[in-house]
Amino acid sequence: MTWSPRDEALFWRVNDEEVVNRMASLHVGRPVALHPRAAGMVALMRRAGTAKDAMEIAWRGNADPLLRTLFEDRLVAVPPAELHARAIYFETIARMLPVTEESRAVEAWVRSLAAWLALQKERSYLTAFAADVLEKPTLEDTRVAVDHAWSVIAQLSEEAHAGASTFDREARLRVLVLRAAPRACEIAGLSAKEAMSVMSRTEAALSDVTDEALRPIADAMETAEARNAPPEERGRILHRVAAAWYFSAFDPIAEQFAVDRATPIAWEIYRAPGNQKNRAFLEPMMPLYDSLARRIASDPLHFAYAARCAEIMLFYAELESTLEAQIRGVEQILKICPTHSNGRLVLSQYLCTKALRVLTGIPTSANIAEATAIVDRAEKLHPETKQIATVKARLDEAKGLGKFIGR
Amino acid sequence: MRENPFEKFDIDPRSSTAQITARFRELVQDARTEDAKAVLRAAWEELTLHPRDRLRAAMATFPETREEIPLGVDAVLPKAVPLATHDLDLTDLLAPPTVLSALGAASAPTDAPETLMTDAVLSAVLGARLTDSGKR
Repeated sequence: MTWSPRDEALFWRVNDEEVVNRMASLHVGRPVALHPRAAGMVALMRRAGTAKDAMEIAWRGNADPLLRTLFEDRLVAVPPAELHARAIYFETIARMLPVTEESRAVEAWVRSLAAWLALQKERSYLTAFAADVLEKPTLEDTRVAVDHAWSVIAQLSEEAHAGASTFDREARLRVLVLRAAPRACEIAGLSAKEAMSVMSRTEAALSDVTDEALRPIADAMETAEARNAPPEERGRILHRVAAAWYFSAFDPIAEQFAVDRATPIAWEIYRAPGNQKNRAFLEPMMPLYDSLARRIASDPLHFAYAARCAEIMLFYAELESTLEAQIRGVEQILKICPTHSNGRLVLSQYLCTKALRVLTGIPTSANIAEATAIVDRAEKLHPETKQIATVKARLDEAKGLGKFIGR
Repeated sequence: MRENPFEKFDIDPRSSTAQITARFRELVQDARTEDAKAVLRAAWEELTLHPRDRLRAAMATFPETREEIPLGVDAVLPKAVPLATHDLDLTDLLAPPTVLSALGAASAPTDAPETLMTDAVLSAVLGARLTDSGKR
């Protein structure tokens, strides 16, 4: 019996299947069997002679080096059929990985999306593929293949949207993938203009998903407001915004929602006796406000929220347990909104209190100099602050006493 | 996420409408429940009556990039059955009538169906192989 070309082809088919399943099992972390056509990806790599050493190591049983070759920084030199196979391979793996393997699943999704985006540039492959599948495709039919990357983004968006109102973990994975679209564009080797087109789609989808995650909270808040629910109860409803923010992978829309909805509640609690309750109300949402404050400080696009964010953070700063912490808190607030009038007034008052503390005891020239500088700043911040006059009077006394005792 | 019909029913995405229909005909014949048949009919419709759905599903499965398996020396490709794709309907999923049913029940052979051992040609080949292995 001779070794025929048929035997040779069958041999490679079995061998490639074995290799791709070894790669997938290693990738997923448990034994898995992909569809037999998945072996085509290995066949393409083998025939192209790429990663020859890694391929030979895989034949001997270790698929790790070959698997690593799929994680290149750029996909520019990968032929279109292999891009197609890789896009499916990575999506299959991403769907097999448990939700607990978040970073690995997101990475697989991003690699899949990158392969689709790179493939979208291969119009002749996609047109030929459509003709292969449909015999005589119309132009509209061919667009299905040519625009398939958009369908992938739409599918990811749909899956994210479907689980948004319950903050589903699988849905959050899709959100993380859509957020990583800039990286997928980079791996795909897209130009800035091409990447913009991708990002306009993913960003619109992400806004919709965040709105969907916030919708039940907004509805519940409206119902509570309609029946005049106490601020503490409305506050507890609003606390769910922290989960929505986490689900949305820290979307500024959720932060802005938290600021807008919290301010009236915080005022109600503040005006009521025992306003320390504002701590319990604001604390779960502080990471959102800190994040928004950082955005405002670094990106002028968020500046419209500076005053609102400053106002809500001021409530919290006032609740700090020490004067130094209170001053630090308000200083932070004035960094994001230097003209915030309440912030300037409150800091001015804190500085006056600090100046008075500096002047406690027997005055020294250093103490007097420090208190003078502090009260000067307080006056610059808010000249109408009542305590300024008190501090100045205390300073005069201290200066007189200092002269008397010769310090 | 719904399983890709090309993978679920093991169909080459480059298959023609006639080949897809032939594959579904086999599957429908093997299906045991009406629900299973309904699933097959829906999948068949998706792949044969809606070209864009078919292309979408073909894009979303592994492309066929493995080596072609050359035919064996004795193997001959069956000629594709010409099938009008513009007027496909559910009757295309039905198994074609057999010669046996055309002849009527009276003409049906009463003894057991042909097997490897009863087929004259195949039993001769098998006998020769067995003799060869006996001599060894």
